[in-house]
Amino acid sequence: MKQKITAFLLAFLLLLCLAPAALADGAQLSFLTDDAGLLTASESAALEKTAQSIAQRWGVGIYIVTVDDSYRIDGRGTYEAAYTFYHNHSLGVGAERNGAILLLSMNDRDFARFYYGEKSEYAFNGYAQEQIEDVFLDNFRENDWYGGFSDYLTACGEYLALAAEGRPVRRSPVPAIVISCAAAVLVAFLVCAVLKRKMKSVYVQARADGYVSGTLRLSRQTDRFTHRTETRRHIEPPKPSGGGGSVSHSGGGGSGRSGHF
Amino acid sequence: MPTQVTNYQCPSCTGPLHYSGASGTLECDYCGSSYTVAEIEALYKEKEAEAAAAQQAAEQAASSGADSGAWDVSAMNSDWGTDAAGMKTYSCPSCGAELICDANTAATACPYCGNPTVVPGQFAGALKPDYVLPFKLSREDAIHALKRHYKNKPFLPRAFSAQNQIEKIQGVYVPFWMFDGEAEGHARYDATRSRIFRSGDWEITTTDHFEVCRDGSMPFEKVPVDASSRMPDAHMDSIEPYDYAELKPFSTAYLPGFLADKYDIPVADCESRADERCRKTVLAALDRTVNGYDTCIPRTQDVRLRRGKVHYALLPVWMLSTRWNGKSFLFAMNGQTGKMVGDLPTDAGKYWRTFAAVAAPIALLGTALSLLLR
Repeated sequence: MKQKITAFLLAFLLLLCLAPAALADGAQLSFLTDDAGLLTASESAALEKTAQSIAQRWGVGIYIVTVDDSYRIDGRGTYEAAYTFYHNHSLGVGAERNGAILLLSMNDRDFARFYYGEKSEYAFNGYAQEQIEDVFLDNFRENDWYGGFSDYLTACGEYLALAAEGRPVRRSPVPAIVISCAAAVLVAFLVCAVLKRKMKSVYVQARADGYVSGTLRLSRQTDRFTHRTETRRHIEPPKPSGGGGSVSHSGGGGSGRSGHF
Repeated sequence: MPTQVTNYQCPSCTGPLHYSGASGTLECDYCGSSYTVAEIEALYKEKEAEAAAAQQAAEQAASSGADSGAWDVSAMNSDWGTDAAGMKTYSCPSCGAELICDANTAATACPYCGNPTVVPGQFAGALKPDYVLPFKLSREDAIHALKRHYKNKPFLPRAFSAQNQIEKIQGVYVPFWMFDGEAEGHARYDATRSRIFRSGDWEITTTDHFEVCRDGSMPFEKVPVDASSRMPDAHMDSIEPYDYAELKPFSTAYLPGFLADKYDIPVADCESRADERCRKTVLAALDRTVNGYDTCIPRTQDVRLRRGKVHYALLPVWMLSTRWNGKSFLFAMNGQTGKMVGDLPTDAGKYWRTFAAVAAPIALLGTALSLLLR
């Protein structure tokens, strides 16, 4: 009995030691990888269950990864780390590896989101990605990790459901249509105004320039300096922006961006 | 003989003579003979000599007593001499126009309002013009110019040009007051010149302020203001300029074949228009002398006019007055240069069809792009 327990403990310890290596060497992981230790066991289990449900139902894997420092994964930046992590671990569902990953690098409080696969990019185009970002960023700024991840998964599920119905989340065309129509009316008005102007040829002459029988004879021409004024404006140094970041598009497919929270 | 002299009969066949703008001569309608104005006038030398002597005497009297504060109208007179016997008038009961012409010319319609029933009357009391600018272009030229005026006007109703009765175009000598004088302008400006530079974390703007003064004078000659209330000022302004090099001392020899309007707006009522045009020209000239500043704001502007002579002249205009859809339209062509003016009506249907034809494709294209790219 004691030997069995000892063997089990040794195996468990070995598993714990190998887990960081597993992060590095391309093994398929669960949907949630909380390397930074932000979540409790029950929170992790709940989020894992939700992500599994989404993957089974919609065929798109939604992955959450938290690390202390994304430079351990890829020294080029947080977005590159998300990209590298996704591909090194062959994340995604199905032959096309449809999926999305949200990676948090806690030392810098940076995040990165990356979407891969036709199904995933259909459901989460640029506009949809921006909308989903609004769902979790405020939670993260208040250090509400479980709330942020939960909202993220819920929103992803909703977006995938709409995409499956053929109604993916897209920017409303109404403002663009209104602007197009307004521009069309303006251009048409200008064209018609130019054409209508040709109908008018009668104008009152305001001046008598054609009847000057000589030239202007200047009898006085003085330019006198009176005073000088000076104004000063302090140039503010540029402020570091919160929540901003670079937009990255990987060369091998997929889209996303990184930011700060 | 006086009757022949007064009616300008052809020396060859005694037929009536009419002035041709294209050739610059008086031509006989019957035998086709043509004579220069000088030749005809030489035949009536006694009458012309009397008129020239009267003109010279009036000018001498005017130059010795000119008042810089008022326009000099001393040279004007109503004495037509024996010319008066060869003139007749027509009055329009519709618009009140009073037209004069030589005895051999008939007015069939009022050139201003198109009224076909003009009433002949006795010629009397009309001021004799100092100058006349003879017609250079013919009625056919005017008709061609009007047809060209209608072209390339996409909003012109098709029925307008068809129903226009273009053949009723008439040549009219329009009366003008021509003002000579000098304008003295005085202008003060507040001007600035700025420089912007950076010093550390500060952006510094230095502005130098200047007081700019400009005084100057400018002579004007024969600034025209039309002296007929029936001729819209804007139309006459629009067919300017006339080439005054071809301005001739008035002679009734230029009138045959054309109508001439009598003035009904006195000099005093016209002078403000001439004053204003001269004022704006001299102020604009002073403005152009202020250079090298970033901003220049006029603070005070004052113009004093030294008024000179006023001349009474007849300038040539081909005119057509027409009505369409209850509105009147007047077309006027400079009888010397051929410049044609006249506002045209707009077909509302054509306007909105064009509007839709431009707006619809742009709206559809914009909508399609916004749907594709979202």
